[in-house]
Amino acid sequence: MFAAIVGAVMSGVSIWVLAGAVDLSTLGELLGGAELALVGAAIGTLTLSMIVRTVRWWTTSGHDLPTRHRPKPTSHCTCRLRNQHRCSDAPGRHCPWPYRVPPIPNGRT
Amino acid sequence: MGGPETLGSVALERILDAGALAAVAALTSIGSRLAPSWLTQGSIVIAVSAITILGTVYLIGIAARRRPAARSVNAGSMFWRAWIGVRANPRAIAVSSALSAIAWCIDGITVLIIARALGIEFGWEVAMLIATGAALGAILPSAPAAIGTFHIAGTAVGVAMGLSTSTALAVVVLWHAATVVPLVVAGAISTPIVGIGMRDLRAATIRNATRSTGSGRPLPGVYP
Repeated sequence: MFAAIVGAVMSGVSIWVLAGAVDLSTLGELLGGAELALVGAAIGTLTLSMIVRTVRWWTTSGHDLPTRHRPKPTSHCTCRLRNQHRCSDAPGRHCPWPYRVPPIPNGRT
Repeated sequence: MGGPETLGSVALERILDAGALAAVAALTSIGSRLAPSWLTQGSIVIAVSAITILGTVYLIGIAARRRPAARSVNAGSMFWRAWIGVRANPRAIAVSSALSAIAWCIDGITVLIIARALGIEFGWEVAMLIATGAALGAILPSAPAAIGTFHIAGTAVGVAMGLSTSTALAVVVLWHAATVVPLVVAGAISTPIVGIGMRDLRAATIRNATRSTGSGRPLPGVYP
């Protein structure tokens, strides 16, 4: 709650300072004249950036547990992230897309 | 993944990301003749701070691993496992930092494209510094999506690099909109497809918190 109040105050003060410092009509003209094709290209570049960030998250979180602490994989588990041993199978529980994997064949890990 | 483990990996990722961001900003401002000294010095200080925090927490993680109490399953030990796990493979730190730096460079290219969309011409180093400066401003406490702090920081860097206030703010506002709006839309579309709703997330948080404490009680601050 305290953090939300501080955040709201910081944002409010920042917007107030900016509103007093800029010429709003010039700002409106600039934004109104934006070339949409290039804005679309920027969003495409953003997608690339998000892909890199997703790989980074995978890199970091994929090593958050030492191998010796991981539970043993079970051959019947069909709800887990690929390359992860933690099983999310539960009776009657929906298994969302990234977790749905084929069972591990017997004798393999 | 349990709540403390998630918190540990997110905290690690945030520190790595801030360090990479500040390093990119510092290298760009050192290489740019336009950058003011406060920008160069500020980004160097943030980069060194991130590396120091990372090193300190890393050493604490190693110490926690050696203590028998840390081997019990509780919220604290699960948090530290996120760091100890990296010790098992320090290459993850290098790869993660490099990927962060690449992502921030791509963000700089996005700013450059947005500026071109507005008919504004400036060099790549200005785009890189606006991107990194605005992102550093988002570290401050703020309303959701860092509205205000993100814009004032990006505008301040743009003005320091020779742009007018209105021009710098226009670039930052449009860049922020192009960054946030598609993510919000993609999130709103993908959550029902994946089968996760706010109720599921809340239930999972409470379940993980209860499991993590090992006492049947949720963590402080998590209420059923």
